[in-house]
Amino acid sequence: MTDSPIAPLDNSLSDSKKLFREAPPEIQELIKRVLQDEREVIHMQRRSSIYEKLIERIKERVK
Amino acid sequence: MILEKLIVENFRQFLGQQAITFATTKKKNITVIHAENGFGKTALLNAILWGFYGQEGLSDDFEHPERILHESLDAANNDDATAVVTILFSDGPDRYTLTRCLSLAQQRDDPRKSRVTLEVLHHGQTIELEKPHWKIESLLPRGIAPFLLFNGERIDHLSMGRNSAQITAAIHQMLGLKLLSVTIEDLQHQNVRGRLIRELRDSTDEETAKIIEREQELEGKFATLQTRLGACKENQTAAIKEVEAIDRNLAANREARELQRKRSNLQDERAGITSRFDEVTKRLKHLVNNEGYVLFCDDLVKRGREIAQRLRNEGKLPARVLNSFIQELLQSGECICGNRLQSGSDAHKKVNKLLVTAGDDYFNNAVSALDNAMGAIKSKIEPTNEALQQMAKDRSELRDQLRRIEDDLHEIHQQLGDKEDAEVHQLESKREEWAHKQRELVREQGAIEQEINQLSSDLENVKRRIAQSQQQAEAAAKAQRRLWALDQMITLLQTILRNEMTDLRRALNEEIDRHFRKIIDRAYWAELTEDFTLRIMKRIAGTRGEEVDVAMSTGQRQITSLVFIASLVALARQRAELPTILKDVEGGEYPMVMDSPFGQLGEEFRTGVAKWIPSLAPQVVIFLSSTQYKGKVEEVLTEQGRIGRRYVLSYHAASKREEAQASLTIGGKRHRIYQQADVEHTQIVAVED
Repeated sequence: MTDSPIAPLDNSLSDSKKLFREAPPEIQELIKRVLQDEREVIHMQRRSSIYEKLIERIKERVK
Repeated sequence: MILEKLIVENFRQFLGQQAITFATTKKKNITVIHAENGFGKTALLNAILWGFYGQEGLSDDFEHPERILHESLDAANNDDATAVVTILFSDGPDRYTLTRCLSLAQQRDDPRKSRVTLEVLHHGQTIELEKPHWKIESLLPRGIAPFLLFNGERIDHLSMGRNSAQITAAIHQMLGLKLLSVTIEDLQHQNVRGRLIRELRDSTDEETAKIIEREQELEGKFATLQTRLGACKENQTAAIKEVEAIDRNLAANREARELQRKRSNLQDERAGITSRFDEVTKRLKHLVNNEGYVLFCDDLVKRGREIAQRLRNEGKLPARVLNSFIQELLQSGECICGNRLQSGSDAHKKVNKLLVTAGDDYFNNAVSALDNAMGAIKSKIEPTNEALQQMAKDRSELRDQLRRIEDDLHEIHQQLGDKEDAEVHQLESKREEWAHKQRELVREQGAIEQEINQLSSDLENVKRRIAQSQQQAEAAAKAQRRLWALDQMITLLQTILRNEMTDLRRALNEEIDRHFRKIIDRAYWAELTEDFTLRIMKRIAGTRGEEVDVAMSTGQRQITSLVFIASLVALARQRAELPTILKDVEGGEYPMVMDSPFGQLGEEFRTGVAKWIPSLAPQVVIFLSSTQYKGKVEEVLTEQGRIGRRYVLSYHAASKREEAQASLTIGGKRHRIYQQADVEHTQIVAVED
């Protein structure tokens, strides 16, 4: 939209990417699913059902 | 999100249906709305806020928020009369139509209950969304609205230390980190982590169960303390705001104005001196921690040297000669003085005796290191002593200055409290109550933080014990694995959040400083600290690079806040285009809608703000009075050619404020902006450039 004079962000954000990829695959998968669940309810004022869902996610992945 | 059109109908003084089409192109991204004070600028800004969030979103300076409909409709008693605000906007490829309305009957019953609908045109299909509030909250969260739609004369508070929480929240929301922080909170919740801990406790032996119980108890206390700490900080902010509001009232009172001005100057001075005092204290601590020991070593070094000398005299310490050198002399049969060293001769015996007192390489090196260490300590004593004395002197002087300022402030308080004027007396008395409350809260915060530190250490010990004594039974192991996985997730997400925040803070810091320096023509620099406080710093001349906070004027604070918001908007937009670690953890495009952004600024700063701020945001809407527009602002905005749309608010009423102009000249054309009328109302008139 604009010819903003802002300088581009460097590649430092990839530090997080690296950290994520270094985590055990099980944890990576869990985080992806948990964030997916959270994304669906983040804008709700009442979101008590999310806790049950998070517990379910952990139990189905970690036997 | 980009605003495309605003349609207002019977909203406050906007009688009938009227519209504004916003500038949305890349090169021409500014919409200017010219209006004199009192002609409807604040009402129009609030029409947008009301459209998005209803009554809860209205700004603090919007008087009588319960009166939304035009007053003539209220007087006519037509229950069917309705106020409507429609906002057309786009977000990526989707186009939205948001409509909020309130009937007169509903306004009288409960003005908070307006009706809102939101339609989206998605892939050629129009869908009415079932939960419009949720969608609005996801597109333009209410928490960031004050950063994007604001009165420029009232944003200076952002650059005050106490608003770091607000700044952190804005960064979280605008740069897409809220999803991470909310997920972390949920995973740590009693219903998730607490439940997994309970399951673990139920499946472990009694002793371990007790330790786990203890851990839960400590975690509960920890959470309570954190909540108390948060509440304490919020209360402090509220108390400060109360004091500031009272200060504004005192400044507006003729009887108190002069004293209040003095107080305000003294408070600024106190802030500057306190910052210098803290800086000196920090350096003093550093010196004491690293070099302080040398001050107690004078006698020790002296004694050490005496002992070394005595041992050397007694032959127990080697002379500063290597025995390898002596052996070479004996083997060569000739001394360095030229005498022959025949075996059995006196000269040979004397040199041979030196072998006893000369040490081997290792021993000699150790003795030499000891000599060096004692020498180094000795050489540091005097400069360290001098530096300490200087710093103590500086601190003492600064403390004296602070004491004098406190005395002066107390004197002002006495004088204001003793004023005959009842309003001044009452305001001062109320101010003292709030100031006292604030001091109490600062003390309380210190006590809570100390408790938190102690508790953290206890918790660490308990966790260590749990890890040591954990049972490996099947059920316990499973429960343990789940808890471990949960903790791994929490730790990883926290680390990612921290990393992203650090990286973004750095990027934001660079942006803020870069733009700040363009606007402020002094040797100051802007900094967003690790605890997300906006600071303006300068170096003190004649010191060894000593840096202090600048005691900012209101105008400088306003610029700092504006630069922060614009840099954040620019960074959010840039981040929206970056592939990030996790889907949906990203920023977005946001417009900036600014009422009177040049209000408190001197002429020298207006140029910079007019020139740079619009270039950072994808879309800018500016509300301007004639006095703010004339001169540099007009020159720069015209020169840049970024104005895509322009409107004037034409005011119709029986009378107008004396200082308000009746006509306005834009680009050589004269526009009437005030007309006498029986029914007060404002018309939005498009201006062709």
